[in-house]
Amino acid sequence: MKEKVRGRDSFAAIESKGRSLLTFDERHILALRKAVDETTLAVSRCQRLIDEQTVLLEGWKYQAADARQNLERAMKETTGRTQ
Amino acid sequence: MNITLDQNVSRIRGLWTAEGYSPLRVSDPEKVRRLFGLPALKQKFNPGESYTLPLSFARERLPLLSVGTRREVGRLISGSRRLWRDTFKNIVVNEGLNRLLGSTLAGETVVTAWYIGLTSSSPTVVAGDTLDIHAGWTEIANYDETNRVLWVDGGVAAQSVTNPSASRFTISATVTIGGAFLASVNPVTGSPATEGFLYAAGAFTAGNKTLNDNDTLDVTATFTAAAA
Repeated sequence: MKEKVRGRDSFAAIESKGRSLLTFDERHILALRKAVDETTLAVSRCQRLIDEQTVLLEGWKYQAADARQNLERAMKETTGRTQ
Repeated sequence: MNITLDQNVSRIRGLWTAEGYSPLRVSDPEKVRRLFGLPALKQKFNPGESYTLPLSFARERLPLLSVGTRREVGRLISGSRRLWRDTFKNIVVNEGLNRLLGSTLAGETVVTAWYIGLTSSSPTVVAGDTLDIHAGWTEIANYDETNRVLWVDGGVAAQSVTNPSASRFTISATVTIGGAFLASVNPVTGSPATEGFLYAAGAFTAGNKTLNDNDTLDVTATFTAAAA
């Protein structure tokens, strides 16, 4: 986690502009909550990709098995003709 | 006889918008805290002092309140304004271009989440920059968010993709920012960056911008590709 440059005072001063209504800890917790939300979203996107790739993988496996069967059949036929 | 071939050149671009906002002024701190559901504090609010609230907090929390409470809060907060707005173009670095080609054409791992980071003053971005090595700029991390902020795309349409909701930073100290970048991992400076990729980076068109604690920075990045 990145280092915070601010002190741990309850209300961080904003120069002459005013003081923060939120405490340091509250801001920190808000940031952590945002990180959780973002990570959850990233996880769901990654899961969606895995699901899509799994469907593709099953399709390729089926095609590979089909192609292998075709090859074996063709080889048998060729062998039968040449004998 | 010389023949000149009309060669179309495909273009991959990025157009960014950055907007800085000052915090909201709060006229009755205790009541506003209560309305937002924040616990009461032992520390007393000084009536002679002005208190502020980041716009990012209000934008996130206000929609969660009831209409009546929202109206009540609305009467007690005021004053946030847009400090500046800048649009700028990026350079899609070689690392980003390789990633684009690799994941599209060469079966490399797809990056499912991209993050926006902020650069130091007057960044010099070159094609050879990587997330790990970029001599012309450093990363700025003076914001509340724990990590670089997620860039949530709205899907690709007409060779363009953008983040419909701006990636939002809550500034935590006075800081000067010179531009922004898009990276494939979110830990900020100080964490290992070797496993991540830099896609693009750019400098603000109108020069560096200074923001203060509790200011909000909204960043939108739109990436386009064109056949010619």
